[in-house]
Amino acid sequence: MTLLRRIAHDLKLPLLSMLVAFIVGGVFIFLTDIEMIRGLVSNPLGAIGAGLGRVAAAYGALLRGAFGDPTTYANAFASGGDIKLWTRAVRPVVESIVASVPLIFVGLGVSVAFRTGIFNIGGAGQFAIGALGGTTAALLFGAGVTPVPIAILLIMIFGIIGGAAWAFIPGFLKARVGASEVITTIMLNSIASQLIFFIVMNSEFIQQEQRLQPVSKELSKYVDIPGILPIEALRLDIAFPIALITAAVVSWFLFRSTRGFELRTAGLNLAAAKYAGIGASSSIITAMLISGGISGLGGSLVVVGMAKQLAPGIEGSVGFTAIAIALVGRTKPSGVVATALVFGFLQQGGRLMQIETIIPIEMLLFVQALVIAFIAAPGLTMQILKNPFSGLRGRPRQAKAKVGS
Amino acid sequence: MKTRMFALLTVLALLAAACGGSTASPSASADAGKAEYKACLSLDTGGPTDKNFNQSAYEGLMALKEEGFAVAFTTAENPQSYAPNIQSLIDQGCNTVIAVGYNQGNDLKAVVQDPANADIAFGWVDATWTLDDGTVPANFTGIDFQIDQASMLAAYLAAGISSTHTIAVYGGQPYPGVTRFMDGWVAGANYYAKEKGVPTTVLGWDPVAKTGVFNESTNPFGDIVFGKTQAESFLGSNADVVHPVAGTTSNGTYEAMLAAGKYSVGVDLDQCISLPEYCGTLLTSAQKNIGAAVIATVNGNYEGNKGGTNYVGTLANGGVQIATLDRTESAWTSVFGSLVTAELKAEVEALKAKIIDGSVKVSDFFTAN
Repeated sequence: MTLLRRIAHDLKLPLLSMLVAFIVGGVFIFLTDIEMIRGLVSNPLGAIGAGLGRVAAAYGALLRGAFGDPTTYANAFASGGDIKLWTRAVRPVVESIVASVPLIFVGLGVSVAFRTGIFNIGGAGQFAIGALGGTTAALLFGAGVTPVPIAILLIMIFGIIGGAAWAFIPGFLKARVGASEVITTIMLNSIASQLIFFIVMNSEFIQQEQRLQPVSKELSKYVDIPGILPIEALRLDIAFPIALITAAVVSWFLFRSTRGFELRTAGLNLAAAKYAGIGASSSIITAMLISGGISGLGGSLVVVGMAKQLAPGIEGSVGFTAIAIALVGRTKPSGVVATALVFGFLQQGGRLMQIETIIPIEMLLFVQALVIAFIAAPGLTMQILKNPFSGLRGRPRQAKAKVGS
Repeated sequence: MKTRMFALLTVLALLAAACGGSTASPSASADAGKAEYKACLSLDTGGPTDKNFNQSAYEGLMALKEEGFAVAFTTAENPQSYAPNIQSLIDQGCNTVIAVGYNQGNDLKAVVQDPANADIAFGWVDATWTLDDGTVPANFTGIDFQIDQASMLAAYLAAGISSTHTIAVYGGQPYPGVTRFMDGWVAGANYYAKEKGVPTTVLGWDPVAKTGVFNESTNPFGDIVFGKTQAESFLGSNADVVHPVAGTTSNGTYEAMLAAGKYSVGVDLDQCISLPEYCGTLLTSAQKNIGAAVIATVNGNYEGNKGGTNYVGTLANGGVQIATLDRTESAWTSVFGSLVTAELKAEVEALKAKIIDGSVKVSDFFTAN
């Protein structure tokens, strides 16, 4: 019972924030149609009706785009075992999970740092250098040089080393000379993306043959990361279970191991931690190594498995989205996984929303930003909803992440 | 209370939409067959309003909608979204799927060759594709442009108005679709030098060594600051006409050239129209008629020809051109009215005729003399 109540309590704020964000987003979807604004004057009821219809069409498409269309599911069931129909039915939900995989890794990575009181903004750079490591390993050990399982293991190890090495720099600087990790990690993000551009552009070993532009060789020709679904056309591979295992390990480490306890103590109060005999420098460096290693692991698996090619910009906006995910998920591994999945579903659902309603994909970034804003300002969220549960009223809770130094 | 009612309504509406399937209602049209045929674009990261090649393709799509076709499009957030975007369009029942931009190639090729998609016609704007056995897949149309022909005309014109006899060019990244503009630019200047006996220097590209100025940042086609500083550096080297081939990055160049009272040549669209604020610096634009190519390809697909060919736009077939020199915009006429003489215009027309009849080839003028 207490467990259920705790879960309900943990979920209340994120769910309510999402609800409010979608309602506010709906208002803006309404406002983006000039016809409807004009209609407000001439025929207000009709315009509001049409507006609600437009919002419903948009969010309906969002849901069907993320989870799949009930009619395609029905067709697939009716057909029995028709692979083509099944592929089509489950592809949206599979693609949603695919989109969430990099977010889970980097979200977990930055969460470990946040728990230790370090605001690691460098998830993007660590992910990118991890991808570079994974690419290198795939080219070195793939194409039959070592058996596939060993090649994959080496890809993961190279990814972890790449990400951890990139995170070691700000960790070391913070621990030794007190350099603000916020600044150093942001700067290292830019350096990482430029470094990848330079290497892919200039390394014969990595760059695709006879190409002037910065793209790597096609990694699927070297290592084929095995999928986990019986249908080959669905591109969900072992990166997803590895992400879940990573989440479980991080959870165990943070909340069950001695070293994890030390890191969390350092995160809550560094002075008290020092007094208790916990080394501040070693905590910071350890946290950064783990944090970068996890992001790098994600980068290596994503580049070889789903992207199949290293190109500048591989990290996309994963760094900043992951920070949001870590905060929304309250830097708990289970929360991070759940939030990353939600963001993955939003990302995938947005494609169909754009196809069906021509509402620009940016509208979803807007809704995502609103979710974060409402979670960061719980009092506001509750006010908007006039929350009937009195427990939270007048006692705004901060999202639990202890950020900054 | 009101807000809670609203929330409830929204949730109900949402559920209704989710259960009810598509609520999109196809508009009535003259040709019922076309309404059943869905033409779709997978746009690159610039999206439908990039004032550049995505926009040209999008305008073609909107014209198809006017013709009565069902249409849809997606915009990529980053390179990872090409594959899922193309797949979403296929799953939405698109009959033609055209990927806009060179970068989408790898993801596009995979779906073209998937037997499950044999009934769908695919197109690829800004590139051609031939299999190892020399054939083009039967459900694929490459849409490419001999834009070097248009750039060569533009460069001849630029060399004709340059008082320093130095013109410049740079690219976003060294994609074939970019360097071809640059090849033509060099060729046009060399041709002018040969015809007129006036040595003309070209900065920014060497078509033989294939080296030149590119934007080595992670956002090469959307980096206005680079466009500005690069233009200033060219101005410092005495160039007075710059041809930036770099998407939105080019806007920074136009801004700097306009401020310096010097000239630019636009790309892809008639940029005097798409970017009227820079009309006073835009001598002309090397145009790809992407919209027209999209319209032609979709209509061909609709009539049953699903592909197997590469369409190459040239000066001869009207697929490429330079923007008109008979402009009426006062911003343009006040600057170029006197610079672009009737004589120069006639020379450009003569060169155009020679390129069309094949007596002048762009690749013959990669070096001076």
